[in-house]
Amino acid sequence: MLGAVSGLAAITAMECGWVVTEVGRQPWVVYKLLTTTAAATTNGGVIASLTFVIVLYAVLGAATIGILRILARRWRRGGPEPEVPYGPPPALQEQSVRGVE
Amino acid sequence: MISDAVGGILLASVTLYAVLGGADFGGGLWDLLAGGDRRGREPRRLIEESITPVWEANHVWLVFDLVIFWTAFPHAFAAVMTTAALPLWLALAGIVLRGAGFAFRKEVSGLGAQRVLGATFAFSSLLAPFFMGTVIGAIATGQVPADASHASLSAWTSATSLLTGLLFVGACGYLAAVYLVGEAARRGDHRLRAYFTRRAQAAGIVAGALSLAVLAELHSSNHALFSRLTGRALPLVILAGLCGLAVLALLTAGRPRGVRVLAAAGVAAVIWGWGVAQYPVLLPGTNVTLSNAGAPPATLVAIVVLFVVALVIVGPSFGLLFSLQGRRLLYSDDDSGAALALQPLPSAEPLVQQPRPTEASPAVRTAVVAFVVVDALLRARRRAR
Repeated sequence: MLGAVSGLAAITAMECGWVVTEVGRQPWVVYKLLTTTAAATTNGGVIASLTFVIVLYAVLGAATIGILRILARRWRRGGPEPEVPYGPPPALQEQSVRGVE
Repeated sequence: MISDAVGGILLASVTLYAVLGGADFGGGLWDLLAGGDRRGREPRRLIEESITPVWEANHVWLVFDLVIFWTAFPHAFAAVMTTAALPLWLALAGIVLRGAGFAFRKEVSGLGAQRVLGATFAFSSLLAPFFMGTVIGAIATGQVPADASHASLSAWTSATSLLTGLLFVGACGYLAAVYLVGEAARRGDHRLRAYFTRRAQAAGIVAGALSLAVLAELHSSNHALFSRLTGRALPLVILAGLCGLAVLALLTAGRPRGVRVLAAAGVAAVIWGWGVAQYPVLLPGTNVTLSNAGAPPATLVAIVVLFVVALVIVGPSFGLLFSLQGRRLLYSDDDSGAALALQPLPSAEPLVQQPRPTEASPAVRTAVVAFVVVDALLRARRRAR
């Protein structure tokens, strides 16, 4: 249980650290050299592109969670192991499993 | 001049991205055109097995391109990013979606979901190079003003820009098909070899025609660039044409040996032809050149040094990746082994000089040892400070 929470806590800590550096630096984007206002784009459509990014990543995030759930379900059901990307060829895998035993 | 050296570095990494990453996009094109589930099964499988282990590595060059452009020539970078914001956004969306579609497709089991994700991968593989091409077209036709303050639709929707976008898609498809011919030949798969040979020939003709069309369009849209392309850059333009004709001839004769290198060299010649023709101007139609586009000399020196360091770090890693691929040591779901279409590319760049698969191990071992030693030295220095 603690192990499961620590995964989440690691991500929370990382994100919090990022927020602290980004917010703490304001109003500078490059400390004492360039303000955020001066660095911002002069283009319109900032809200539109932000919305676009949020929607895109919400869809991708949902898909990632969905696929992780599919993988977990497949793993729980047992059956043949799906291939591991970039893993060693099957013969080597069997050897190492035997080695562990 | 140091800014010329950095310009060369920028063009070299653009070339690497084109010949390595471009072929990944082209894989998406052939995935899209492979037909129904059953008919397209074999070609799709070869494409997937060829791309899987290398596509993320190949897209490192895009990061490289952008960081060098941004750090070394910030004024030109800002002008391009502002003027061509929309196509750059669309290209970015294409890159993100194609990666997600490609990675997710392998994990889902339902045919319907696989189709949707496969289509996402394939369509966005076309979007990304097309919109990148329109941006290059906008730059080449002098549509990017030096003091750009807002995005412009007309900058990247001229005939030249749209044709350049199509040329990028065609060139990506051409590279991918040629690499896949080589890969199928190496596996001894005659059916797929013939399949991709036909496509490589068709894509070669289309890409060649589009190149000529862009050149013809430049005659009216940027005459200065046109006259330099047919002037001092003419040898490279001719080299590009000869490479293309040689690839077509070798494919027609059924001798796929060396076609991958020739195809990559042809594309590289086009890119360098453009660079030579435009030199030293960064944004045609303005007075923004390599030497006045921004960064102070100290930054440029740092970039050159960093580039050398990056070569020392990235070179051996790429060597290891490609040689493992060449020796079929990376995974596959059956005995055939996932070998790669994006094989060691002994292209114009020394960066990816790969040892040949059979004689790889000593070279790779040396490279790995060298990498570890450099890494240890760097760490020791950091600690000493």
